[in-house]
Amino acid sequence: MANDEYDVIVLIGDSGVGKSNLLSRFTRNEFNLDSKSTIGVEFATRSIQVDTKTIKAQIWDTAGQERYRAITSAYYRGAVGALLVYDISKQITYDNVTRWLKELRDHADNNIVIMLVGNKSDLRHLRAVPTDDAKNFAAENHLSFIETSALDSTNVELAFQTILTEIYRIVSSKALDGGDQHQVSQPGSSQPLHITPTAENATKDTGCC
Amino acid sequence: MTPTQPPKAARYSMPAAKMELMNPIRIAPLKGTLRKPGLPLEIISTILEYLPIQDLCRFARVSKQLQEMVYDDSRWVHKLKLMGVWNETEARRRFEDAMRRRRAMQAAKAAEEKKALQNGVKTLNAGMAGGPSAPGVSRSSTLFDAGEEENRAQVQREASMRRAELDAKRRTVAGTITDGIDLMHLAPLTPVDIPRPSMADPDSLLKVLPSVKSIRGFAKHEFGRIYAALGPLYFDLAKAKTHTDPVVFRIYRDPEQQAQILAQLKVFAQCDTAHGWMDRLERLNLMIGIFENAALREFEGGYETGDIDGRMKRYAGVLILLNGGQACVQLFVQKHPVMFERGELGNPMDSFELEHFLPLGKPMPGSFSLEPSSLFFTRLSALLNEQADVIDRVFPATVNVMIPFLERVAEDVISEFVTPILDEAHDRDIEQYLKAVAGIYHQLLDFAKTIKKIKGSGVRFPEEMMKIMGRVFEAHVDLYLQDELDFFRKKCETEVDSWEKKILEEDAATESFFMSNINREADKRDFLSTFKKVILMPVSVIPSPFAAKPAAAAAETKSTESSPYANSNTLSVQEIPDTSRPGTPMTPGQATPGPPPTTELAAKAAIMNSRLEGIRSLFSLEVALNLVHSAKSSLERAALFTGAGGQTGEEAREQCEQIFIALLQVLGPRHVKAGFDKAVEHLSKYNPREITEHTQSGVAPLVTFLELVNVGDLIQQMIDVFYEQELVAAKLTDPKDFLNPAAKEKKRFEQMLDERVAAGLNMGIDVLIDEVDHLFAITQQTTDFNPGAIGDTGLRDFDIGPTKTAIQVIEVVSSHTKLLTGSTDKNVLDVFNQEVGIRLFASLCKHIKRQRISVDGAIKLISDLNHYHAYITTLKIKPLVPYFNALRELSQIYLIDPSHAKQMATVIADPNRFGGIFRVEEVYEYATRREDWYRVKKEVERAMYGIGCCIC
Repeated sequence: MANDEYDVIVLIGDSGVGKSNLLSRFTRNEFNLDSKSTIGVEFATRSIQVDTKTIKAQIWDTAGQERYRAITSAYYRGAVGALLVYDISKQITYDNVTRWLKELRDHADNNIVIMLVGNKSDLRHLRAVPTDDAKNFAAENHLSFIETSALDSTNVELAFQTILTEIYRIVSSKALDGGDQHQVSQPGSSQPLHITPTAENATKDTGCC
Repeated sequence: MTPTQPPKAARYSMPAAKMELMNPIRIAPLKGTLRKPGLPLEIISTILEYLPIQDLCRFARVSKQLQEMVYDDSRWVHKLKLMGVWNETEARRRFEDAMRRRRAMQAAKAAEEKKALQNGVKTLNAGMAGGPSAPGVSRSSTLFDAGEEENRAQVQREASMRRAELDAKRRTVAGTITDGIDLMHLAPLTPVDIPRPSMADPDSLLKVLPSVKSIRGFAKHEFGRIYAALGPLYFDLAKAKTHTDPVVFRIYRDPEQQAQILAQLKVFAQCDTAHGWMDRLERLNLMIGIFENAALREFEGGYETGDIDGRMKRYAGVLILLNGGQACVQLFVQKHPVMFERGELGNPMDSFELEHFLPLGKPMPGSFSLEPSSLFFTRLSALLNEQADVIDRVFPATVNVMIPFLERVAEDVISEFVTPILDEAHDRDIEQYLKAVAGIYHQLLDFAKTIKKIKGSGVRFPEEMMKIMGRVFEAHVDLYLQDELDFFRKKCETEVDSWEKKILEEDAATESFFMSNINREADKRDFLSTFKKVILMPVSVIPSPFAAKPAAAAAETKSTESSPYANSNTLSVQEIPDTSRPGTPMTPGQATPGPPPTTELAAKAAIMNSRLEGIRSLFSLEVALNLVHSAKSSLERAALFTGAGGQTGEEAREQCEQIFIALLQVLGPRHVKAGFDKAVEHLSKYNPREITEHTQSGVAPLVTFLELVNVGDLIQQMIDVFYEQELVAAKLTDPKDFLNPAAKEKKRFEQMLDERVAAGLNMGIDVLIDEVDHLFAITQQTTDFNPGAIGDTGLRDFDIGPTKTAIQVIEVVSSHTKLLTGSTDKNVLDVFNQEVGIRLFASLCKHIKRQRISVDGAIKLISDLNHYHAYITTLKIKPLVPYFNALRELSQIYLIDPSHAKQMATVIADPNRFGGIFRVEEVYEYATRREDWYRVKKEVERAMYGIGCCIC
């Protein structure tokens, strides 16, 4: 309970793009070829060093399958970063990226840092999504972009490192500005972070009804 | 006579005429037309059977029809058959040959006849005219062929006749009396057209019987030949008053020839069915008897003087020619010195003699020795092989002397030697007796192998030999087998009894041990792997010396100081089955070759000791090994007799099965079952609340029980190996025969074990779940799932792993299920695991319902449930997965922010989400466990039932 300062990062993307394996590669350096589809959500933590500061990351690995994710809103609660994963060998997973992006915009914090991750870069011969397409798409939507392979661990570390660094930079710059409290994840400020969207959503819901 | 009649007449005089008698209609006209009122032809024909030959010939002269009747071939075939010189197959073969020739000839003849018909010439085959049956053109083909055959024979005969006449002339010149006798007796008897060449040459006479040919339609002539040769001698012999009278002995001076002719006469006498045959036969037998006696006397004389190659050999030959030589074989065997000199071969009491020389004359029961009997057999073997040479020299290869001789030796010498030993041993000590029987039998078999095969002994000699040797022991086998079984059973029972008594005394100590044992659970799994390495491996890898190694491993429990690990290592290196009683503690000296025990090994040893100590109060591997070992020795002894074959072998085999069954019965119901029952009882008494310490992941009685299952499994494997090795491999039992008592008993034993295991597992699951429930109750903190409850609201735990409780529960469950792996049937294990999983699920559900869960706490709960789920997936039991999937799904409802009541409602109301494991009401019930339930309840219910909407 002593260390209460950490960042929540969610992993989202279509079923089977390799979210769970990205997570296990990053947190436990494991890879499982025949892993089952995730039910609900799984958690893992890891600390990394950014500049001189240790950043603790709590990563939520969410289910990609539609039937396992009715409570989507719960997954984005308090998330400051999101890895939107697609499979470079499957065009459809890339096509769905827009849908995921929309979901993020709907449910997550407005300031959430999003990174587009093209996973399974080891499957070069099966590539269906050109790197440039994805890169352009990311640029258009102001996302970071990286291609990874959980299998041979290419860029996995880098992806998490990058997103966490980015989050850190934003947070620290915001803190320097001393401005908007709502968007900033600060020591002891996690409570307001999720209260605000809750209030917004609640009013939206009642209004709808 | 019309040409059609002869076949009819022939038919009536056939032996099958009796069949014709049944048909009076066919007989009646014959009677009326052909004969004056008198006897029917059939009866006449039958009467003819009893006429002496010369009367038969006279009878034939009466009329053509009667001649036909007398000359009928089957009559003579019958006589030849009486003498046993008619060979039906040979006759048939000749007949078929003739048929083939005839067909060829007929074809030729048909062509010829056609030509003849054209020429208008009617001729008969000249050769045919010479036949005795006066064949005509219309004759049946068979007779025609017989005529053909006859023709050729006639030519041969004439040739030999001429030769014989020449001989006879020479003899007449020589002035022997042979011809005189010939003229005197044979002239009136033999048909005129049959020559009497045989008498002319006494030497050819000797071979008259073997030279008989079996030709259909030609039997009369063959018989005539025999009769001419042997008839006179036979009747002369029958009339003789003393043994000097008969001509036989005057014609033939040579004993061999005399024997030969007498043997022929004996055969010839078989066809003598005429009046007074009994007297003649008696006389003949008397003469033969006199002759045999004389020959035997000569043989005996030769025997006594040791004239092996001379008189013995010669008269053995004579007697064999006469009647197979049984008499002289008997004499040889009876008179053999070995029968009377058996005392010199060894005194049966020598086997026990040793004890008298023991200090202070105190007879020790263990002083029986097999040495003297071995010596005895060696001597006897040498003697017999010497005799085998003699037999080889004296008797020709056609006579089997060795077997009767060995029979006699076995009966008179070996039996006389063996019986007192066994009786004495039996009186002294049963165990000694059992050893003596097996030992001596083994020696006997070895002895049998040393006996040389002689040329007259035939191919089946070794089998015969074994049979004879088996007969020696026949009388003892029954008693022995019974004793063996009784002894074994008694031994087993005493073993188990003494063990039980010992345990009873130690019971109090072990009870307390159960309580104290709990402190060392941490090393349990470690121990089990060691246990498997040390004990299981040798059994499965090297099956035969099983008696020694696990025993030693069990023995290690006794020797606390020496390193058991080192011990077992040494033992697996030396692969010789330990013949000494297993279970005796190894001396430290034996243990030294192993690697020096490190502290870790010592620790392992200590654990092993304590562990086996705990199991020992239930049942003992050591006892089981002792039992198996004594069963093995008993079986090995009894199995010797299965080689004897026949009834004895069969009985021995059955007895072997009985021993195995006895082993199972003692080991099963008496020993193992009792242990299991006790373990289950301990289990049922277990109450987690009464035990203060729960720091370690084990339930003592359950662990004990599970290890008991391991040991039980070990014993079962041992029994299996034993069965395969000792019974199946030794062909003592048929594994495919499901009705076989041994296989049945083995199955029953396994079944019993399975049943006990199942019963215990059932109890074990209860205990395990009790323990889990207990853990839930005492270790789960309220703050685990509701971190805000205490008041320190602002903080969230960064370490989002599973809670301590979950880790502990999984550890308890997995450590116990892992203990079972490999020790019991896969199916049983699966059922057990599945049951454990489902019960764990139920416990978890109950547990969750007892908690208050906040949104933050949900992360913890989800982590816990993920942890359980991960464990369940390792079990690889499909049916369990949906339950734990549903739990994971369920846990999501706690994660939903209170503001999203509508979403919550969707989740609760979606039964598909939980795969049918939870109903909507149940999910709702779980939802009420939310820390903020009363705040969101209204919203959720409105969303669920739509009530709120209407109000709004």
